[in-house]
Amino acid sequence: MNARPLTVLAPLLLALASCRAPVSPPAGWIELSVPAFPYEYQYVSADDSRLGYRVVPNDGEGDLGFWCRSIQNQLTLNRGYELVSMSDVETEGGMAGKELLFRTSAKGVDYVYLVAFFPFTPFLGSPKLALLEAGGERSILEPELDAVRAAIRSLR
Amino acid sequence: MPLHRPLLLLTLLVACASCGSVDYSARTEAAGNPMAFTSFGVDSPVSQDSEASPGLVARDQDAPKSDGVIMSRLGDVDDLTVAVDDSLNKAQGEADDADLQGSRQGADLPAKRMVVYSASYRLRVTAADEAAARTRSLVEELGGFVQEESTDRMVVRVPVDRFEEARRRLAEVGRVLQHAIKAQDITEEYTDLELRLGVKKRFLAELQALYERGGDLADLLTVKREIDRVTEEIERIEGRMRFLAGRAAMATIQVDFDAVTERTEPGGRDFDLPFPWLRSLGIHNLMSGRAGR
Repeated sequence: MNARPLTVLAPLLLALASCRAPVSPPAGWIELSVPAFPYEYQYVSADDSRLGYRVVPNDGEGDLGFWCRSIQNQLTLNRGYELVSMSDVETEGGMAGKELLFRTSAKGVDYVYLVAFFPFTPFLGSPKLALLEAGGERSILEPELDAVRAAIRSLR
Repeated sequence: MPLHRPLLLLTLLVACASCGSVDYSARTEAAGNPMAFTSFGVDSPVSQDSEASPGLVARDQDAPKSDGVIMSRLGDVDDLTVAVDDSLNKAQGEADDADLQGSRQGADLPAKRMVVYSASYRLRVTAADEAAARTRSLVEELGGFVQEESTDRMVVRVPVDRFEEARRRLAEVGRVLQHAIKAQDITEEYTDLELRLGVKKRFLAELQALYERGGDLADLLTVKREIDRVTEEIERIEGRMRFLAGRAAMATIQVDFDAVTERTEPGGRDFDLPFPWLRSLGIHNLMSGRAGR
């Protein structure tokens, strides 16, 4: 078999696959065509709640417990966030991860901030963490948290 | 002629043309030194002619003309009387209105440009009040002053020849999360004011001569009113020129402090795992999108 078509098609297929949005955002949210740094994808609601997606290196192949504790420490000890809940989460595709929900306030406004992460190792490459962050004013985003969690579970 | 020659020439021309850009804001997540002016292809205030008067930035005649945006919060505080370079202060107002037109047509740009420099920083600090105190102290040491202050923001003014030093030392107050530098070329406005001032002064001298010559009371009253009007205009122009000179003499730096919340554990060390992306977590970064990976 001639290997040439494969060498041309394989990168194309990979590129097409990688262009696909990583999650299905909550209904009514839109994807920003130019996500703000450092996010690879960013979604926003009309009420200015945000959902960001990015991939970060999983240095040392830390497990769920390690990153859970690290994120918690970073946000509670350094930023003064209040940890509201921590739970296991699994995507529709079966990826296992963790979700941490925080509350904080700035300039008199209460916010909620949700982080979910999923360790994975790409076919070619070093271990990574798929990181999803959602945040917004507490009074606006809290009623939408279920929809946000559904979006997170749609991670592919 | 080989084909690559014209291409090389074209590339050089494009490169030269692109050097004219002066809106050279930048941001960095890296700790430490912010970008140097020279990185943007423009002269640093420090690299100016040391003989130049404050407020005047010595630059080449063909230096890029800038129209950078100055921060809207700079305010209008400027009671500074600054010695302005003689070459700009020389009255060119021997002309009447026709002369003014002629001067405008024939006048080249002044040998020295007046550029208003400003910068902004967002610093990660452990305690905003301590950082503010350090900033105040170093600004005063450099001969500047605090123009605005709130719990997490300061706007300071420093002499333009200490601008680079101020930037360098400010970067040591905290970890630089973001910074930007801007410039605004006000040479054209200043030169225009200068020309107008010359014309008005000449007109005033003529009016005064007319008034001293004496004559009909009604005519004298008319001349006197005109003298008052022109004097007021001259004062207004001079005030604006002083304001512009002050803006150019003192660079403006806005510093936003992004304070890390105090640790609740007594005696605990600063929590700082060696994973940069952890530091970019948080509602602020998500909502503003200003963070490091």
